[in-house]
Amino acid sequence: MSLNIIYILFSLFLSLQSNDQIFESANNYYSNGDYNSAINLYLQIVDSGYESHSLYYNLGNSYYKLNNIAESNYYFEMAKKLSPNDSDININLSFAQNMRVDKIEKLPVSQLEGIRIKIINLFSVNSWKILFLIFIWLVCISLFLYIYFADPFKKKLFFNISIVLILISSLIYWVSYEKEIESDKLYGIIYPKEIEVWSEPNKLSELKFLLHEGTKVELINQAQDWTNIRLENGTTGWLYTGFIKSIK
Amino acid sequence: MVKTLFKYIGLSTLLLNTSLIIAQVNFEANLSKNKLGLNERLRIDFVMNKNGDNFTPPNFENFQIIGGPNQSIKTSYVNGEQSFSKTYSYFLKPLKKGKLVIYQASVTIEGQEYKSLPVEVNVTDSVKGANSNSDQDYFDDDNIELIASVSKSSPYINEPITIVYRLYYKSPINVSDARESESPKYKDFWSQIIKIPQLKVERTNYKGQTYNVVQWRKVVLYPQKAGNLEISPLSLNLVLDFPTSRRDFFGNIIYDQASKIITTGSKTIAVRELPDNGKPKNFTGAVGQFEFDIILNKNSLKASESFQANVKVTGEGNLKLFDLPELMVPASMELYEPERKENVKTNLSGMSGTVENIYTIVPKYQGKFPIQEVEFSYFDPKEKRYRTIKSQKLNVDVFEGPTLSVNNDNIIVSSNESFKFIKTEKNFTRINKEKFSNSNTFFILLSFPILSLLSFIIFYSLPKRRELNKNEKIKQIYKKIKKDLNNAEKSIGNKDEFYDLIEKSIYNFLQIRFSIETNKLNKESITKQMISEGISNKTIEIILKLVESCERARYSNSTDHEMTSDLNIANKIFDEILKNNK
Repeated sequence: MSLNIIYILFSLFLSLQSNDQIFESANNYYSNGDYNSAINLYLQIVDSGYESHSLYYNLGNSYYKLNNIAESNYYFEMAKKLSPNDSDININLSFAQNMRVDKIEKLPVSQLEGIRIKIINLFSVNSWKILFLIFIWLVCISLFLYIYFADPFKKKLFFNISIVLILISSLIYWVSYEKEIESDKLYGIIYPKEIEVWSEPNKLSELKFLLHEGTKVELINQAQDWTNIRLENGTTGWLYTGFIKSIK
Repeated sequence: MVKTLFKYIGLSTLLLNTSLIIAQVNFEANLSKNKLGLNERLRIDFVMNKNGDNFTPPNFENFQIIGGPNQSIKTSYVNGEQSFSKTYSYFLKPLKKGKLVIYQASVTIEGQEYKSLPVEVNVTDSVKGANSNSDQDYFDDDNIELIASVSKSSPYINEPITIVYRLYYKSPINVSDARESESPKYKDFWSQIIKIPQLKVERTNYKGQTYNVVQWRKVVLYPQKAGNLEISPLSLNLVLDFPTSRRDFFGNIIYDQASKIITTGSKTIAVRELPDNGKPKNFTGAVGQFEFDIILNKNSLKASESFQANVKVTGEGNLKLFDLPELMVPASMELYEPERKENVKTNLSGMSGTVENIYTIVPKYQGKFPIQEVEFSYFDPKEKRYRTIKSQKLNVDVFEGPTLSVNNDNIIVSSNESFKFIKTEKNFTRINKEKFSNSNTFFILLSFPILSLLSFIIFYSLPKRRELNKNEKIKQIYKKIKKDLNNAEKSIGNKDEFYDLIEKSIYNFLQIRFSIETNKLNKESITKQMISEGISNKTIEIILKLVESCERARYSNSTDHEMTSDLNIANKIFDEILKNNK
């Protein structure tokens, strides 16, 4: 039994170790311009069940160098999902986005909405949740101190602190909730060079528009082999599920 | 006076009558003869006595029109009376023997349609020496012919065909002038007439005889529609020189001139639809043999400079008749409307040359911009199948200029950052699709402080508070007891009031001391409780004694002295127990 555990721990350690080595040699391939080999090694790490924003970022870079619009957009978006404020990721993502054929105007955002988006994008969902936990702990501690102390001055002090902390943590909870809704939205990248988007999930319906490789769409729901998508400009339509790879 | 009036009336009726006569419309068909030989000719006149429009000749079935329609108008005044006649004449040659009918012709006169009566013609066998002027014989179809030769009778849509109109004639006839009296119409065709700079007479062997031939007209046609398409005939009005039987003074044959209309007859071309089988999606109707590519004039430049992309199709086929495939560039580049350039020559085999769309493109940001491969599909009528050519992969490298960077999903910032190098941090985590907010860790971390706080409240804070409250209550009741005892002291002598107060204080005391809520003092139960609380027998005895004296006092008189001693006892007990309690 104990041997087993040791074995598992050891193999885990080994796999981590070897992933590090694979990553390094992949980076070497990249530096030497052998992007295909680099991609193979990076994907090996992904297949072993590990991820990191730098791994996805490097994959995106490699695909960008090979002019693969869809894959580079996909992996930069994956990296951005793990680390939304990394400037390198954002810059290279914009390079990848510049390769796309589709130009989709974003819906204009009100100033208030802009502020809200700015706030919820300060941290990732998990960071917001951790922050929320920290504040819950602080609230509990300060409530404990409030109850514990008999001295009226201290009692009053901790009472006020508790109130403030409760307000802050409920605010954080609201923000993290908003962020969670935002991050629960599923997005996908279009893979084929050109695909048709229909008004209904069948080819008998009206052809609405064409989309091209690398465009990011929001996935609203699915019906059999079809996915309902929404573009950043608000228009919706149906396309065949096999044409999109979802970012998750 | 009356006479003159009658005169006027008579005159006016006369005038009225004449006008009535004029108003009578006559439209009839007159034959020059109604019996003739097969080799003879016949004239038919459609005569009307009022001017009419929309003259429609009958379908001269079994006849060939040799001449006409000739139109003549005759107006004459005879004794001040006007007569008018308009005649359409045709010269006809019967095509077969028997009783032939020339059907009705129609004309619209003064808004009303009039029809001639059908007339019958009896055609007998050929008559020798007919039409005494035998010169007409030279006009025989054998001597002169107009032929439209079509290169292909069943082409595909957009496959070129050529029609060459040739005029054949042989001696003794000579053509001295020719004019086109009816030009063919190429409906549903794209047509181009190939110019013939000068008509040339050549000698050729035709039907085993030597003919003179003139190429009158050459045309290239691209059918635009499937089905049987008709090409209307070409008719030439010829002035012919032909020899007569007469000779001049020197013994040379005297030539005479006559005019003749000659026609090709209409042609039908069966145009085939392009096969549906294997038709590429991006097929835009190109038929022929082509080469296709996209050519950039530069592929490395700074942002806001411009470059050009030529989408170019070269080859033979319907170059002018299809759309070139569209160029697709990344949306971050400005693409202007293309300029179409054609360099196409048309000859008998069809169009050949180059068609190109020249796009001007201005990149706005730096980066690498792949230009999508473009596919061009065409139908090769020789191989009878579709072919698709892909353009080569193209890349434009924009090495200087702003970067479009999209920050926080909505705020677009232009910067001058260049493409970033890979990262080397190795902080891999297991891919975990489970949300942190749904994980056990999250719930444990969330519930732990809350639960500990609650348990702290339940197990520590609340009992403490209850104790505090109890002490407070006890204090209050002690105060009450003391007050009651003080009052009792004041009311010594007033037996009822005194013992009421004593009793009340005993109740209160028992209540706080043993939590006995009672209005009746049951000695036994009190004793039991007090024993279980571990109060000394002596104290119990005193309390019981006090209770007893309270009871006794209700039913008998008691002295002041007794009251004082009872009060002392009560004071003593409470003091003692209060002391113990603290």
